Amino acid sequence: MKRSKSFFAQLLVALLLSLTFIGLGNWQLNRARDVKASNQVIADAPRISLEIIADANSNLAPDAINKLVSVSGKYVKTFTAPQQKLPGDKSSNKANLEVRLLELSGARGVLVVRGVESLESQEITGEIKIKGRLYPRQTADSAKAGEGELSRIDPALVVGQTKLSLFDGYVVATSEATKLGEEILTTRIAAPQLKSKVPGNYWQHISYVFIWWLMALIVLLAPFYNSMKERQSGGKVAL
Amino acid sequence: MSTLNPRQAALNGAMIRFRVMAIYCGVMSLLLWFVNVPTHYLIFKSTHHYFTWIALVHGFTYPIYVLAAFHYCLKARKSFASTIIFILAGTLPIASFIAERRAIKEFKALA
Repeated sequence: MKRSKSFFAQLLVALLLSLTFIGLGNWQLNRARDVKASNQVIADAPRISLEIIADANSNLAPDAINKLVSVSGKYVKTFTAPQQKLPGDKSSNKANLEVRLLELSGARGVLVVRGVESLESQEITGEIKIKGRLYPRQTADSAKAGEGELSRIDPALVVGQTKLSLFDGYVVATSEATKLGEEILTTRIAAPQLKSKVPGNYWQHISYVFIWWLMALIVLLAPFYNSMKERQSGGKVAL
Repeated sequence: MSTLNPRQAALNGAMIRFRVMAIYCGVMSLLLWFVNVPTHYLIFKSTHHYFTWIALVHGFTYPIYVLAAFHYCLKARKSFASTIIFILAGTLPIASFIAERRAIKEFKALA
């Protein structure tokens, strides 16, 4: 059967549209995978020294975020981070957190969240060994900061107050011990893995995959639509 | 009961399937647009988790509406542009009801 030029033009347009719809279906498939991945619990890797996975004065590598770390040094400054939403807490509870600047060897420093701020500040001197989880710096202010306060937990806010070279991000301490191994107690906060939030529901995205691919199939049928109609009616149908 | 002429009889099955799916899709679209979406973005956000099923059910059943609409339009010898309009009617709350009414009107006109 001889096909006209307009048929091939229609076929080309249908192919292009169909490929676009297939692409949109694939995009939804990737979104579904992202949602699934963001809901999965990833096993923690063994604890590692902060200095191995991060460098002072440079951005945190994505792989370093969420890692369980250990670091030792001495506290040189104390701050309060007011009205902080606690990590992993789904309620709207907020707390004032105690944040200290830990000085490491080689004039380097890292911010450490010790826990919920207590009424009396603990005097901690000498070398401290800290175990905790590494988080990326906060980018949004949680409160207006006064003297000795941090509006968000971000090393950039303390750069002007210290000569130390700072590590990016901060460590939420899960335990602190003196050089002699004596544990320092305080009201700790949970240090769960941060999860990226991907909007939507897995099965909702999967249903959109089916819809887009079905649309791709229907568009692909467009050039043949009239001949399908002819077959339905048993004769030639006017365009 | 009125008897159907041969043209109507040939279209009857596809027409019934389309009507059922059009009414169903219209109801689901109403729920989606006026219950699911507002609770997600505008009001009573804390209750949204009660209504997530709406988007899921609509998402998985809309392809059935698409197939029913395509089959009906093919049988009714509609143009491809009309077919696309009938298919897209399933995504808007009132449009599928209008499409269903129009299909009945055209069906009766065949008598």
